[in-house]
Amino acid sequence: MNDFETRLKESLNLKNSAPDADSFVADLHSERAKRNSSRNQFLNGIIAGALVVSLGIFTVSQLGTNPAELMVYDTFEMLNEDERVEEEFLTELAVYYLEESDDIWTTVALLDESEFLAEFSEDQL
Amino acid sequence: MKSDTELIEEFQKGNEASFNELVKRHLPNTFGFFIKVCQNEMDAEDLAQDVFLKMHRALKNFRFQSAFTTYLYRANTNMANSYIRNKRWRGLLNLDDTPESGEWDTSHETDWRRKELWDSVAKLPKLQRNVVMMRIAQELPFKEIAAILNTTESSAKTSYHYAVKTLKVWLEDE
Repeated sequence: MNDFETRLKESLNLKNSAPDADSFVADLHSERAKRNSSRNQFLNGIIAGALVVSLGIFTVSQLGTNPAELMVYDTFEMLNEDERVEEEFLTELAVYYLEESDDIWTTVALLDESEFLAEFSEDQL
Repeated sequence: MKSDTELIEEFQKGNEASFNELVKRHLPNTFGFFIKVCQNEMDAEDLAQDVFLKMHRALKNFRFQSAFTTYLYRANTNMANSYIRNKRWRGLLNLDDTPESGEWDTSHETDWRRKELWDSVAKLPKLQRNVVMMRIAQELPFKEIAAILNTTESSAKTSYHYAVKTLKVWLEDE
């Protein structure tokens, strides 16, 4: 067994010498500074991100509305509202023209131009 | 010459030069251990650097419950185990294609190549591997090995005995 152990140790007999101690220490401290800097940058990033998210949540909460509702539902509702106002306006305009005009075909041509005629069949007219 | 304990106490009081002296004192031994495990100067230097970086953080809270060398050898062994584990994964994933480097002493070539030896050591169970690394690469006495590994001297001896027996079978079969 001892012979085997000796052979094991001999197989590891290397000429390599340790690196220069002074340059190793200098490298060690520069690596330490680099890692500290990276860690600080990472932490600052996390803190900045958390701050932005908290500010966002705080700002939205000050509006007194559920953010999801504000962003999705209300926007959709606003679009529908615009369409509904325009439709009501055109309907009223058409009725007005039909009631007030002497020449019904001039009214129809006008409505046709505003692409509104499809809403009314000839029977209704 | 100041003792390790005195240097650590000074470092804890904010004296960086004491830490530098501690590093310079233990660098040859630490590097010597890693060069045997890694068979690669660059890896050995990186591992030695990582160990001393950990020491820089840890020594600020060192409570002198054990000798500094015991603490350092334990850190070295943990680092070597981690290196072996990573190397094994890299081997499995075929990522490790770096050739052996370093100027080896060819005048002491033996029947086994170093790579084969350390590949075999890496395959040993953890306790046996740790004991072999400390006994062969660091040439520590069993009493100190037992203290570092938190085990008994007889357990360290038994593990070493089994490890060497296993290595003998593996290496002589090849």
